[in-house]
This record gives sequence, C-alpha cells and structure tokens, in this order.
Amino acid sequence: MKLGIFVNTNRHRDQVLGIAKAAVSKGHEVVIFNMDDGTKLLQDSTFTELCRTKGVSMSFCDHSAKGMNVSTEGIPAEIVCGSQYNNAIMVNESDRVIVL
Amino acid sequence: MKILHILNDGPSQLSDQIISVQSKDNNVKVIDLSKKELSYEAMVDEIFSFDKVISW
Repeated sequence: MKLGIFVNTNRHRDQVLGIAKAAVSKGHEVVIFNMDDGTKLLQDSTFTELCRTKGVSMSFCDHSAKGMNVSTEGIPAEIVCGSQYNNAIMVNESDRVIVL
Repeated sequence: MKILHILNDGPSQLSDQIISVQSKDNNVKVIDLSKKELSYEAMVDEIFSFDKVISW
C-alpha cells in the first residue's frame, strides 16, 4: 500500500524518518511532500538522505521553500522540486495520508 | 467505521471534542506521538488497518 506523508512543520523529523522507514520495511511505498515550515527540513541531510531509501519518493513545494528562504542548492536530485500539484498527486494516489 | 487520530503534539481542546463526538458511533483509537508509546512499525500497521486517519 502507499502512505503519503505531508510535512508542513520541521518539528517531527524523527517521526517522519521512523514512520517512513518502518513503512518501507513492511513493503509499503512512501510518498513525502514538504511545504511551509516543512521545507526547512530540506536543509537537514539526515532528512534528505531518506530519498535514497528504496520505496520512498520525495518532493517539495518550491514556492514554499522560496517563501521560507530555504536554499534548495545541494538537495539530492531524487527530491523533486515541485508544487502543489505534487501534493495533489500524493493525496490522490495514497491509501492513507498523515500530516507531520 | 474505524477512525485513527494521530496527535502530533499531544491533545488539544478541539481534538478532544472531535474524538469524543466520533467515539459515540465509531471505533476510535488515539495515538499520541508526544508520548512515544508505540513503535513506528506498530504505528504503520495501525494507520493501514483503520478506515480513516486524522492527523492533528
């Protein structure tokens, strides 16, 4: 099954990492979308490294990142520089969506 | 209906009210992330076993 994780804060990094890794270890697919304060996690390599975990796909709202003055330089290419369209796709295609 | 509420930062007055109302006619469970009572693996199982998941 597919789990969507909508990340709109930077306060739950460990929970995002823990839940995502647990989900893929059980054979689920994980889709993560960052916006608002959640884009601040893009400057945390422990968080961005999650994109290299098999079964995890990540994207963020570029408009949010710019608004938060978050530099997206050096972010792994696997993380899609996106928009609310990516958010909509995640919500549409996921079996469950949680917010962290 | 089975409804799972995930409290990211503990309960609030609003979450308590909604949970209370929904509990009357539904099978409601609450996971409080601030208490760290459940493993992430167990949490994932719960997320997919409930019909609806609400994050606070």
